Amino acid sequence: MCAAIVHLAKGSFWCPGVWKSRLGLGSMMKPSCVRVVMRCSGARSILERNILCRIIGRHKCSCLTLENTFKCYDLENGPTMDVELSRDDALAMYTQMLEVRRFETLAGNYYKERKIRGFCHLYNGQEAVAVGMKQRLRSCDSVITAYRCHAWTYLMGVSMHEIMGELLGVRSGCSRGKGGSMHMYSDRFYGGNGIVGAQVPLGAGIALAHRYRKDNGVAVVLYGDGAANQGQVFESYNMAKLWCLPCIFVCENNHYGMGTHVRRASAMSEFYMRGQYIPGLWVDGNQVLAVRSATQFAVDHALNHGPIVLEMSTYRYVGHSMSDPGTSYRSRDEVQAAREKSDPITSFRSQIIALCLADEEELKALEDKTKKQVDSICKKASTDKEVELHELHTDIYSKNVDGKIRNVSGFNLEHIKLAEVCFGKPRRTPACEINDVPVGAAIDVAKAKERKAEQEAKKAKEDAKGKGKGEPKGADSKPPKGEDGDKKKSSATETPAAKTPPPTKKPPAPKK
Amino acid sequence: MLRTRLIQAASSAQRAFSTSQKALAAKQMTVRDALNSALDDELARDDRVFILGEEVAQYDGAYKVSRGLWKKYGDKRVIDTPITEMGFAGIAVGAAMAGLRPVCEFMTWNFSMQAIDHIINSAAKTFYMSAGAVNVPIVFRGPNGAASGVAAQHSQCFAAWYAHCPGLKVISPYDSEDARGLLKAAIRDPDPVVFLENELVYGTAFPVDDKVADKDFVVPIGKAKIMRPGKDITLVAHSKAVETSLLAAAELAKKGIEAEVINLRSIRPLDTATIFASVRKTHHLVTVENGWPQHGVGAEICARIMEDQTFFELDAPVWRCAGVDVPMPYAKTLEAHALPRVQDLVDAVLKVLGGKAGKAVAANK
Repeated sequence: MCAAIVHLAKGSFWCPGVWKSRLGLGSMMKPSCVRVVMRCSGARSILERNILCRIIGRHKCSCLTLENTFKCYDLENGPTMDVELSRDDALAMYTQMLEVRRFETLAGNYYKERKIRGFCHLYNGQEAVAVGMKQRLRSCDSVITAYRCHAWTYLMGVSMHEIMGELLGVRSGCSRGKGGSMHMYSDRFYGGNGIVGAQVPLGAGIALAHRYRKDNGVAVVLYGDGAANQGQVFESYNMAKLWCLPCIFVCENNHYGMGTHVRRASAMSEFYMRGQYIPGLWVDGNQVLAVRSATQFAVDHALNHGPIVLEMSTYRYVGHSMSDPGTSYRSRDEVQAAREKSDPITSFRSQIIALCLADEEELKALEDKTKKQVDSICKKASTDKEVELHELHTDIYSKNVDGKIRNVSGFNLEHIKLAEVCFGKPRRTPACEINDVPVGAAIDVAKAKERKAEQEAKKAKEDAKGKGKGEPKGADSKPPKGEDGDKKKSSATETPAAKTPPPTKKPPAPKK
Repeated sequence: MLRTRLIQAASSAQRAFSTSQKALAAKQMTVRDALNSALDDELARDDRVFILGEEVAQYDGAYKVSRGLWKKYGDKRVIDTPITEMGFAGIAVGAAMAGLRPVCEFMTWNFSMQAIDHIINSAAKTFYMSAGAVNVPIVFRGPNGAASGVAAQHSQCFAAWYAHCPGLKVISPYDSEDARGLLKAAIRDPDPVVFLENELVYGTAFPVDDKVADKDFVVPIGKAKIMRPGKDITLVAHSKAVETSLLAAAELAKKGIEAEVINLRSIRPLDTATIFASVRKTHHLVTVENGWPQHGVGAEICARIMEDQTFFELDAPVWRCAGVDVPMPYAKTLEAHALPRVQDLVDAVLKVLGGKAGKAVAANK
């Protein structure tokens, strides 16, 4: 185990070479795990927090102190000050941030080449927020965000090919070209929402569903500094607190709501305090380790104490969207300074090296490899064919009871349903886990199907008994009621066991 | 009192003419009880169903539609919300996206304007935008349209507004059978449904078949009902206007004109098949609604019939009877004149039938 204690002054890092030679360490020795210490500054918070940084000395592990990472509001204890960082985690996070950065850059390039149309909101500079948070979210947690969603979509399990495909409007897009940049979904990821602030009550509703089902999940609800003044955000705070919803409100404060600086838009720009009766935590959103630590804290808090508001202080290098150059309301120097001083990727890179988790060559190789990979995936996506015309009138309703869809002139478009099949695999989302109940005339068809299934189950049981295996498991576990023509009975007992999950049902495994 | 009697008379006239009911109606059921029992059944049947809205729980419902449900099912299934429509409608939509089946009550549909972004942008469009990945099995319900003396801000009809949007299903029941069957169908439906009730009929008792009380009685969405068959002219209406149409039909019957009254039940999808079949029989059509005329339900029916071969079956242009194109006034007389009355319908029918009216009268004598 590599050993080094490093005291870092505010804003500076030891040059790795210096202390390595001091301690006589070879560059080949890399620790598998290091400890990172966060320091919280107590200024301007309700409870003055002034935690001294802890020095890890026992095993002389390499240690790093980050300054000004947290500010607490109405919280007895902040996030853990001592965190461990394993090499695998560090490299995973670093890779993810690189991938996101490269992907967004390519998306920007494609937009300029007019391959991507409409809205395109890029995440350059904010990578640490998504990557750091996802590290501490579990598979049962849900996420909903606004339109700057490509990074989140990727981290929530959608491949880059599908995301780029969606941006390009090709058939391999994750929403088959029907949604575009702002409407991408995945298992437990509810987009991608175009209306500023609308995702906040939606997210509180998702948290309500978690609480309703008691599935131990939390809902992470992201919004920006521009959306933070929306009335519906405060309505959501109120109901989340009233009903103790497991909801983590996260304000990604990149200091600009489109072209308006926070000081011109918000009478009070301490967004972590805006929850008023909800505890809040300000986090340096450019430090992926701080974000990660805060998320762990927030998840625990949401599960045990109710909602919490996080404010991730971050910065975006690009404009609000591709139609905004991003320089008319701020100086290039400001952007440049942000890139140099607080870029999440380069600072994490230095931290990795400083902590001896990887060395320069390895990281360089990783960067090259990642760049090549992302480039090739996106290039491949750009060669896919555009979504077909019949998708125009596909999947407007989950259950279409209308006849045809009206065309430009006349009612002659068939409503097509593709929703069960997507890329050859059935697409599963929480909403369609349990079969929907047929309505009207379809009831008879469904009953006939059920009786048939019953008969087959009976037959299978008899076969199994014959073989001495015992009763087969299955959804048709209800005792066969017989073929009596009593419609009322058979319809009333429409396999309740299959249709209605008990509240304590375990969350489904993620799609991929 | 007189009104109730008139309705009962109209309904018994319906019973006498109706070809769909075999047995005599065994019992009476108010629309309120119909809705209440529908909610009760669906809450019992499916764990995922829950109700939220203002005063739905401990107050037993602002109009007592959810009476007794909180006592029976508790805080988890029947949730009182603060007076924040945008917030709780959004929460309901989010819960639906995550797999639950909320029934979101607006105290009246007028307040839905505060939450309309969530109904349209978050609920209606999501299935399409996600290419079928995320459906939103939510029901928005509440009283719609004019009540009595509540003036302009509390009397608007939203049928046309919501029926405009693809992705939504819009239902407007009239009587108890409609209310019960359609609410159950709406709750079981995997898409967002806008359920427009009417406050004035909540207390009205309608005769219902025994089968209506069945736990799985559903009325299919998108199918209109012929309340009263006829041969001279078709009257198409939804919600409260069905009552006006039935009363007008009774009046016209005295003049020897047999009007066929169609209860639309669903505004979106619109059951044009039933309307067209009726027009092929009667060759005359008058649409009746309490909402404003411009871009309304009647306007849509007119447009559709013109785009169909059935246009050539018409012997006269289609006529719309709608609410007067003004915000609803408060004073009683003004209010009464702001909505189509029985006399207005009779006059419209006579006008549409023109000279034939006289001939029909003579033929029936």
